[in-house]
Amino acid sequence: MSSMNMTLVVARKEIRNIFRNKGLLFGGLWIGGMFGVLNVLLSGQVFSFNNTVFSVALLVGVFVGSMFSAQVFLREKREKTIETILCTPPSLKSIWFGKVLGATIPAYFFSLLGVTLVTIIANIMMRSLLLPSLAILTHILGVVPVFIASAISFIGLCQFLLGMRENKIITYLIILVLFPFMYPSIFSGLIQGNMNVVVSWSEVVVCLIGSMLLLSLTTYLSRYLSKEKIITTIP
Amino acid sequence: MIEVQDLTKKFNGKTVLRGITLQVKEGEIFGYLGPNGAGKTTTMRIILGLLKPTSGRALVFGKELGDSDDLRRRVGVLLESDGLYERLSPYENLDYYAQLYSVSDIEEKIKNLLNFVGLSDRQNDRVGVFSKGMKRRLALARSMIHEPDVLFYDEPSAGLDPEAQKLVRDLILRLAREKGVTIFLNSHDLDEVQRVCSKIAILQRGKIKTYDTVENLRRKFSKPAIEIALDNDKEAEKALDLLNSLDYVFECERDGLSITATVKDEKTSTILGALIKEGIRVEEVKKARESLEDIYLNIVRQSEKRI
Repeated sequence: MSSMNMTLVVARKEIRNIFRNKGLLFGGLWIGGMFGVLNVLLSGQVFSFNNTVFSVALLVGVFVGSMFSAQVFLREKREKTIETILCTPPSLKSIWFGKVLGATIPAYFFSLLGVTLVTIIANIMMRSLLLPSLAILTHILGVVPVFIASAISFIGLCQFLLGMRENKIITYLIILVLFPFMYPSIFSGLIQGNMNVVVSWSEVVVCLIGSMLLLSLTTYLSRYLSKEKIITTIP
Repeated sequence: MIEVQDLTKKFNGKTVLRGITLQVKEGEIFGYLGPNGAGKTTTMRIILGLLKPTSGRALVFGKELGDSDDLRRRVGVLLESDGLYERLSPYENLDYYAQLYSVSDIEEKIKNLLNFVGLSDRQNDRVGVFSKGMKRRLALARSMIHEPDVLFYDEPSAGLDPEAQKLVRDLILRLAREKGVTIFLNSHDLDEVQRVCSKIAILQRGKIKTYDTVENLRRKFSKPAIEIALDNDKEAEKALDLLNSLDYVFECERDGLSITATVKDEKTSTILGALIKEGIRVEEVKKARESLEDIYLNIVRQSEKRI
């Protein structure tokens, strides 16, 4: 079987495992659904549909993705299942890509769920037809999945390379950094006083460049990843 | 088949393995014994390609396992963790591993294996609800899903009830005898090792203290002993006093009405005469053999004294 097929075998298992974890699904639904809804409801007068969709798509995806990567990378390491997997024929690279893919697809699903909810509620609240702009659509369909995949590969790499204590610190950092941005309307409102800044192509391109940079950094750091590194950092 | 040559491993300057050399031939069941922290798991991890040796090499079929994806297809493992996913069913777990090993006729093989380990009626339940013993049985099935030529088992019977332990033992013997599978067994369970292994190595503080067949070890390390059954408590007390006073008796141990005495080889037969001469009523006298456990403890204690 080719390494691509092996990657897909690993990815399929990860997706199945994530969708069987009720706690994780509830967390994903809460973040994807409730945060999207809250962003619209709390924005009040300063509501900007495209801005909200732009940030909800990205942040929900990354936040849920970080939750899923904890299940896919960290949990497997903590429970030592990874040791058995590393003894199977697929290369570390194939296993690695499979895991990234397996966490990205469900995270992107929840990101789309958040966007859908924002769109439905915004349309109901505004009593007019609101649809994302072309730039936002490109962002959702093209940039967001790449950004989520880059973020998950980076977080997953850290989770494989580092010990449990360091990983705990990284988890807190992710929450601390991402959480304020989960309410873009509140955060933006506090800083700018309103949400009238319209997201344009330039923001979309910046996001794409950001994800590419993150991916390059992860690719560079992945040279330090080895079976020995994973095994010796198992608790 | 498995060849380990002068293997050394250091972690942060601390030497964990010191020049391990061993060889396991095709179809052999090799027992790797040693106290906790002796380096058994590290040796196994190096052979499996999970760790790189500081010096020396570990080969399976003449190659390093870490370097060859195809070679890993011929090797099965059961490590400390069962390597199972608790949210998936036994069928899904086996199906996943079967795909990783590119197994053909997956459905039939899974069915046969689940039947073999007695879990066919639970094939759709979540593994998370299984007992430790059931998980271990499933892990055994997992390790065999691709019909490997070599199996690495790390404490396969740990946490199993006696019935399941017997199942593991029988399985290991069947695999070696009927299918010629080579088995590398890390174990604390000396009884298990004694029953199934043809050759063993005892490891202590990263060094092999002894490496031979079980029979040769018995010959080399076991002191002759006799087991004496006595008629009553008073007789047993008298016999114990007498045996302790004889200079050719090394050690005496009383267990109820039975006494086990370790003696100098040529004096075995004279013990009975001494007991009769003192008027002690002996019910039965038989030669006893030291178990692998005694041999193991002797070797480990001796080397600890030297340190």
